[in-house]
Amino acid sequence: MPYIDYYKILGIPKNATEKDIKKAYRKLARKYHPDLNPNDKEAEKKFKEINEANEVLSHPENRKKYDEHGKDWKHAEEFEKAKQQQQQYQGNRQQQYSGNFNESDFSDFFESMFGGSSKQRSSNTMFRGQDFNAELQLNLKDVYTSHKRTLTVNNKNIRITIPAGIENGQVIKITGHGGKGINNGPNGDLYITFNIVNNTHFKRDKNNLYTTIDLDLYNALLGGEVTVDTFDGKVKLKVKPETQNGTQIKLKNKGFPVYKKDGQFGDLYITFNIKTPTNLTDKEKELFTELSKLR
Amino acid sequence: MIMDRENLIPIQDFCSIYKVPETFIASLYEYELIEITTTENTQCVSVTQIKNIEKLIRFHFEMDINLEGIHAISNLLDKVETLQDEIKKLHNKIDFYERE
Repeated sequence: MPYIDYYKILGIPKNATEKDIKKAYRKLARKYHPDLNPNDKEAEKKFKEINEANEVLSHPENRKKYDEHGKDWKHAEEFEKAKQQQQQYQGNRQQQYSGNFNESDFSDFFESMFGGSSKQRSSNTMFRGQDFNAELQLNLKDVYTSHKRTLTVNNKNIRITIPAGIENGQVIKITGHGGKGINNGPNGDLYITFNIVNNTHFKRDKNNLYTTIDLDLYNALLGGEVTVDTFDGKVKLKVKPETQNGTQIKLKNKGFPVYKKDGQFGDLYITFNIKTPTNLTDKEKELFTELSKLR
Repeated sequence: MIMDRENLIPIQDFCSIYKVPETFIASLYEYELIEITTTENTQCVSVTQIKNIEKLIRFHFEMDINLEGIHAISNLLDKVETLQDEIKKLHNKIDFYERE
């Protein structure tokens, strides 16, 4: 648990006045507040540090304790014990930024010094709970069918249905599963970003799938039948005589499920890669030569 | 008091809960940052806008950003979100071609 220099974080000297602290904090908050930096994890991390620094330095009692013992943080436990013997700390909070933060957003250093966030609005303002963001990594095969999955968010199990056809990077909102509302405000929401890993030989473009299959020369020239892997099994496919290399055919409704449209599928596009025979025997060479003379 | 029928909150109630002046909500409306619905002669905001209005409250009352600034920021944030969506789509597209 490293020592955190809150003055350095806010860029202020040790003798900064309350006004200086507020000014420095507001300046940095305008730069790093998550409201102004959507989906920017670095800014969010930075803002948490700034918020924590302000939480300590903007409150005279916290600041005094930090100034006196902050560097010697190992003694914080003793302070904690002493503190617990006293009445629960209910000091008036200085103004601080709200938004998507909770106790877990404070560092271990802060927790050890001040026993968790005492962050409360000074008023009884009703506020929505914080929104939670989570990432879920799934394989492409997992999202071919709708399925249920249990997620653990902040020690609570949530069972959600993942609809078939969800896209890589897509975000779904689970209403009311974020942080608890403040002063009876509504709960926040849970946002899940899906990270879909494609470890199949299919390429996916929205609902359509693409693949390339090898076709031997004789099937390509004379036509025939080949067995093709689709996402949900094998299908037999007729090959037209004189099929050219690179020919693309479409298997209707053999692509990926359409998101939230039960029973609807995209198409599967198959490109033929014609393989010419190698290691020809003398007889084959002779016959190919003969063939070439016919053209 | 939440009006069940359409999930609308009278502005007066909203401002009392959030402890913000009604003129602030009126200004947000003037800058076209929120929508106001009038029902039974009462001006209301929809609950679906709460999250956005809370954000605008933070901009103004906690970050000291004036309404002109909020207006500019909101427009830029809309653009940022559109661009982020675009990047996401392009990443998926790149992934598609990199699998060639």
